Amino acid sequence: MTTVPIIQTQALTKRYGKGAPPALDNLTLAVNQGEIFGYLGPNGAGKSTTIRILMDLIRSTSGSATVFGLDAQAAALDIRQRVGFMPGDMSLWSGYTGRELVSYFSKLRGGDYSARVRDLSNRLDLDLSKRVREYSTGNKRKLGLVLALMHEPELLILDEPTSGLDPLVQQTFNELMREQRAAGRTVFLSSHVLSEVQAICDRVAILRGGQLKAVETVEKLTHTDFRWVTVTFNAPVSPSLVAGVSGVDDATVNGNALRVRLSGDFDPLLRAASASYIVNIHVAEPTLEEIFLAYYDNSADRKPQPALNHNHAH
Amino acid sequence: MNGVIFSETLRRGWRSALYWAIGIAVYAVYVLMIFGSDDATRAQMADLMATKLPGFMGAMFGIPDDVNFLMSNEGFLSFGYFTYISLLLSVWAVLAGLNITANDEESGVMNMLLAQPVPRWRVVAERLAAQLVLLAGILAGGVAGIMVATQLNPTVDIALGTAIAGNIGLWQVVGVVLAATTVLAALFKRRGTAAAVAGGFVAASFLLNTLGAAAGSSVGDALRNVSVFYHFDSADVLQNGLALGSVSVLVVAFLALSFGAVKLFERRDIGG
Repeated sequence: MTTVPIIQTQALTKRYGKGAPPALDNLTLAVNQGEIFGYLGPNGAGKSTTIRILMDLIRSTSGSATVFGLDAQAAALDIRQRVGFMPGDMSLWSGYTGRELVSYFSKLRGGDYSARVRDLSNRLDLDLSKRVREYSTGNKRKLGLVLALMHEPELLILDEPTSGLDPLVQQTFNELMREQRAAGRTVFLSSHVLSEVQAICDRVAILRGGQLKAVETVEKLTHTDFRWVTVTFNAPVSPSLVAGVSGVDDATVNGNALRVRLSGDFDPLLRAASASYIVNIHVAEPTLEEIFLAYYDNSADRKPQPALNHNHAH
Repeated sequence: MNGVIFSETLRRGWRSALYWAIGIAVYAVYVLMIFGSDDATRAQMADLMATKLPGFMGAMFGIPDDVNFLMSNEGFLSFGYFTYISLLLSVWAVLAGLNITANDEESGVMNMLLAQPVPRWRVVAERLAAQLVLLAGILAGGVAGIMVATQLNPTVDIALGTAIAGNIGLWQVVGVVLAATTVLAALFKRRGTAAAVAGGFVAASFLLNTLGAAAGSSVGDALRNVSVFYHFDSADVLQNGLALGSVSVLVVAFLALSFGAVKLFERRDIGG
C-alpha cells in the first residue's frame, strides 16, 4: 500500500467571485488507497465544489489539491485517464443511445471496454439501446455508473451516486463499490444519504458550510459519547423525573416509557429513575444521521468521542 | 484520442447541415430561375432599384451601385443570393457557435465530457474545425444550386469557379461569425447572454456596413472596415475573384477569435 494519499488537499479554498463567502474553506483532507471514503454534508456544504476542483472543472482560489500525488490542475489529463467520475447532475446528450455514449467515451479514452460494459449493464439491468431522453433519472444514473466504471479506474469519484436508484440497484451499487475496494481501488463518494455511507464506507468526512467538521471511521462515529436510553416503568411518569440529571437531554414520554439522550455515565440516570418501578431499560446507539445532526447542532457544538458500547442493558 | 471529437461533431451535425445545404440549394435555384428568368424582368428590377430606392435602402438590401452589373448574372447572384444567404448563415453560425461550448456547459454535459482525458483546447478546436467542414458542406449545396440553375435556365450563365469563389468568401465571413460566437460563449458562459451578444454583433456588423456604404464618406468607410461583412464584397468577388486583403483580414480575425476562445475556455471554471 502506497504512503502517498490517493487524494490530498491542503488548505483548499474556493470562492465564487471576489468578496463572496467561501464555498470551500481551508479544506485539508487525505484519502488513502483502497478505501471507500464518504463525503457527507447537506446541499451547499461544498461537496460538489471539492469534487469539481479534483476533476479540474473549476480552479481553487487558494490551497492545493493532488490526486495520485499529481497536481489536480497541472496533471488533469493524466488524472482523468485513471479516474472514473460521475457528476451529481447526470446530464447527457438526450439524442444519444446509451450504447452510442459508451462508444463515444470509449473512443475518447482510447480503449475497448465492451466486455466490461456488457457485464455492468447486465448487473445494473440497464438497456443500452434506449435513447437518453427515454431513460428515467435512475437509469441515467445507472448509465453514469457504467461510464464511470467501464475502464476499471484506480479511483472513482462519485457525486451523489445513488440518488434516484431503487433499493435493489443500490444493493448492486454497494456490491460494485466493495469489489472496487477488494481490488485495491479507491472510492470517493459524496452523499447526504447516511444509510448508504454507513453500509459501505470505511471513513467519513463531514462537511458543513465549506468547512470540514470531522473525519472519522464509520465504526468510531457510531460509537459516540451519547446513546438513546428508553426506560419503561410500570406506570406513566413525567419527564420532570430526570430534569436536571447530569448527562440527560431531550427527555420524552410515551405512555410508560421515558426516552432520554444520555451522555456519559449511567449512574445519575439510574439513580433518578429508580424513584419509580423500572420494568425495562433499552439502550440504542445513535444512527449516523443522529451523529450527523449532532455535528450540525450549533448550540451544542458537540464532537463525538469514542465511548463505551452498551446494548440492551436490563 | 485525436480527432474523436471532430468526427463525433461531424457525425452529430451532418444531417442538420444537409437540410441547410438542400434549403440553400433550393433557394439558389429559386432566385436564379424565377427572379432572374429573363433579361426584361431583370432590366425592370434594375431600373426600379436604381431609380426608386433611396441609396441607403439600396445599400441595406445589398444592391450594387452599378445598375448594369445588377443586370448581369453575377450582379443578380450577388444581390439575390449572397447578401441574404450571408445573413441567414450568420444565424446558423450563432447556433453552431453555441454548440461549441455553451449548450453543453449550460446543460451540464460538459462535466461528463471533460471528465474524460481530453484537454479543453481540443474540445474547442476540434468542434470549431468540424463546424467549418459542415459549413463548407452547406455552401457546397449553394454552389450545386447555382450550377443546377445554369443547367435549367440558359440565360443564367455563371462559371463554376465564380460560384466557388463567392462561396469561399461567404465561408470565411460566416466562419468569423462562428468564431466570434464561440469566443463570446467562452467569455459569458451563459448561452442566452452569448446568443444575444452574438446576435447583436451580427446586426451591428451588418448595419455598420450598410450605413457606412450609404454615408459614402471617409468616416463611413472607416466604420465599414470594422464590419465583418465589409470584407466580403460579393459583387467584387464575383467580378474580380477573391481579394487577398479581405481574405487575410478574415483569416486573421478567425484565428485570433478562435485562439481567444480556446484561452478563455481553458482558464475559467466550467459551468455555474
